[in-house]
Amino acid sequence: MERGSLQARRERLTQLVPKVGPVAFARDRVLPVVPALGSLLPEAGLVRGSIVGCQGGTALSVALATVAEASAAGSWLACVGLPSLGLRAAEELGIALERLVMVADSADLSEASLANMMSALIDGFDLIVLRGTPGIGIATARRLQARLQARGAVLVVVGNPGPFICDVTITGLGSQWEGLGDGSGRLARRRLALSATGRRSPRVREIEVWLPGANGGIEPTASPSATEMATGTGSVVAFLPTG
Amino acid sequence: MSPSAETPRLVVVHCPDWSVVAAGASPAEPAAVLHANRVVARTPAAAIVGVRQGHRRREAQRICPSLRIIDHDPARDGREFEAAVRSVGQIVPRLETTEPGLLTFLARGPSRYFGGEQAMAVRVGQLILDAVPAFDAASGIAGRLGIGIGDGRFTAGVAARLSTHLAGHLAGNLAGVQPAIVAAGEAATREFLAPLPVAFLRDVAGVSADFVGLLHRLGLHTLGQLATLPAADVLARFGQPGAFAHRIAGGGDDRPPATISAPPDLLVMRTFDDPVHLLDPLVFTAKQLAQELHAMLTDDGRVCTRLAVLAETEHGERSEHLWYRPAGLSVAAIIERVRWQLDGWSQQPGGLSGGIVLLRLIPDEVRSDDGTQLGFWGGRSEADEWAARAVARVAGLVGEQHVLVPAWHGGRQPADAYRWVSVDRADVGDATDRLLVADLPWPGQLPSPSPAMVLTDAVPAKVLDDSGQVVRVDGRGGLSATPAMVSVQGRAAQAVTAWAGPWPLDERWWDPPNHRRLARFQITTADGVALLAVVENQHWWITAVYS
Repeated sequence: MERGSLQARRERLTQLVPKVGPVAFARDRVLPVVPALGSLLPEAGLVRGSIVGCQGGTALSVALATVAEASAAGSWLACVGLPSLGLRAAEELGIALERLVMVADSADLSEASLANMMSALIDGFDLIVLRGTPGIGIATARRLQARLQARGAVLVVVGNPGPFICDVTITGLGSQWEGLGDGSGRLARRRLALSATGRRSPRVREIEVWLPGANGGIEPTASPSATEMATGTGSVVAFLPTG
Repeated sequence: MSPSAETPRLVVVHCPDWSVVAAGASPAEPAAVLHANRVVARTPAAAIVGVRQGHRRREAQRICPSLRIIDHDPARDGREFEAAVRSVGQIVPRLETTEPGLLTFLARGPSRYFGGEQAMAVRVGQLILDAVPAFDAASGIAGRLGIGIGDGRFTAGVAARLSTHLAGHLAGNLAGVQPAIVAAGEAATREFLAPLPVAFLRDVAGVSADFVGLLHRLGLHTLGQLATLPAADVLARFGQPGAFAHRIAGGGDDRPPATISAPPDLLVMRTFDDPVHLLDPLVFTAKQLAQELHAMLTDDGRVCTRLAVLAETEHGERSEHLWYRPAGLSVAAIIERVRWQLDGWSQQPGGLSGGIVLLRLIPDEVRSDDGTQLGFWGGRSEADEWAARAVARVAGLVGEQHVLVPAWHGGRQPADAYRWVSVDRADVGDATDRLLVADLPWPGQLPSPSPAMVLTDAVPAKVLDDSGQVVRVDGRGGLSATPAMVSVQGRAAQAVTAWAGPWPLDERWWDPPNHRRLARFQITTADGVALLAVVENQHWWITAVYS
């Protein structure tokens, strides 16, 4: 009899505990992002299962800077469609090269193989940076997106997102290099204006960063610059062998 | 196995090549199981030829061209091991599985029942050999199953390893199992461990390979040499991992620190109104239970090291297993083990006669989660395992030469410092070899920031002056005119807004075929793009873009 009431009391207690327990931390739901970019992203980090789009002439550097902190913290990073990724630059931004894998020459795969490959990457990697989506249809993209959410990986798309719907899109507005003169100096750092629009929030967030900063990393600028910046319309697509 | 002040006497049954046994390879056939391009298990026939654990695929195939390569499938390993576990479970009440191929249990009860430890060990060995057809006991090729008995997990584990070697050396033993029994008592344990190499710390106790390498470099090659050092000095010099290694090398308590019994009323369970026959819904339920349990434990700052998983069918058949992992069982690890247990149970002949109605997870032993990875099981985290498996899958889909990892190469040009290496020639998990950056100076290398886009094939360009002539650079670094326009690969020319250079480079002058003389420029153009341009033999190229 006594044991019965003890058991009943314990059961009631275990039912009460989750109601009064502390809120679960979001530490596993959101991957860390370097503080300079924190204000651009919802929840100041990379929400697992989300897709981030990077556009503009500086999209590659922005994409690498976005994943750098999570990579340094221990997540594995896969790159697809980035044949000319600069590894020294990646290292300077803070990406852990021992956790970086690249898949090259994926353009000439069939859609089914491409989908299988992306599925495999989503299963095993926390971070995927993808450039170019040749051959991925809308239905495949939806399935990959669902898998992304189920597995908790983050996809960063550089350039045209194609059939993927980005939760956040970061656009490079204008850039200004400092340090180079007329036959003298060297490229020291670049002031970059970025704006981010979210799929769910209509508000546009804008910040300015040094990307790359003095040591190659990304740093926030002290105050918005009043100088005119070159509107970066230059296309780097011209340099790549396959569009 | 309640934690007590004395070290309990344990029996460890170890099959080091379980993966290849589970795959069904016969001992006479040379075969090996590969994971992340490295051999994890091999048959005795392959071992005789010289295939070792840790060999890469190419090395193994070079040593043994007729080697059959089998892919690593942890689910298969777990499933097949269930037969052995159930078989031993008939005579041993509390049996603990660490991973497929490794069983542990207390020696006291069964040894009394069978009249001695030797008799019990031989009986257990026989049970396993009979339960697993792939062992093929009649063939007489032994050395694949070891049984060790000693005080404490480490001693018994080391004894089990030695037993696998012993069986290989004794011919004519059809049972193929030679148990290695260490006498009871601290003195006997210390005497047993003293002459053994420190590599056992890494292989059996999961101490990090770096630490073991350090011991070698310091001249400490045997466990006895390590044990004779004063404990306080070892703690001061090496910290907690070193103190742990020192303690177990002397035969001391090898339980992970701060291990206690779980609170008795901590359990999670789920009953099903309709009996469940399919595996996937059960695994899904197990995932929810595991997450609940994990959340409950982490609220207290704890992680479960030993977990009892109980499943019951509608007809009352039960399957209860103890799973042990010194580093703590994560949610993914728990789900994996539940899957192995249920899958293996359903595959047994006469295992299940109905659907599952009850699934219960009961933590048996917990330890405080201090977040430090003690380096168990080679220091690979779960993220490393997931990534390695994904890499193997992708390599199978697109070809190994298309999956690349960075490797340090060294050089002045942006394309030279790091190179890409395909995964069949590099180790994805262990990057120390390929990314060991020698701290050598590279005078003439461009300082950071480095370009984000390094073109694998340099793109031809034209750098023109005001009058439209191509800018020439002479041998002493003098320019013919100030650069004014840049035209890349025939596209529209862009005005130059800023530039600097030339930074000459004269490489390998002692090697005429590979002698290169070039000059580098950084150029920004009106459309906001910054380029790294190189002129060599009066031809201009764009080698990198600061994207």
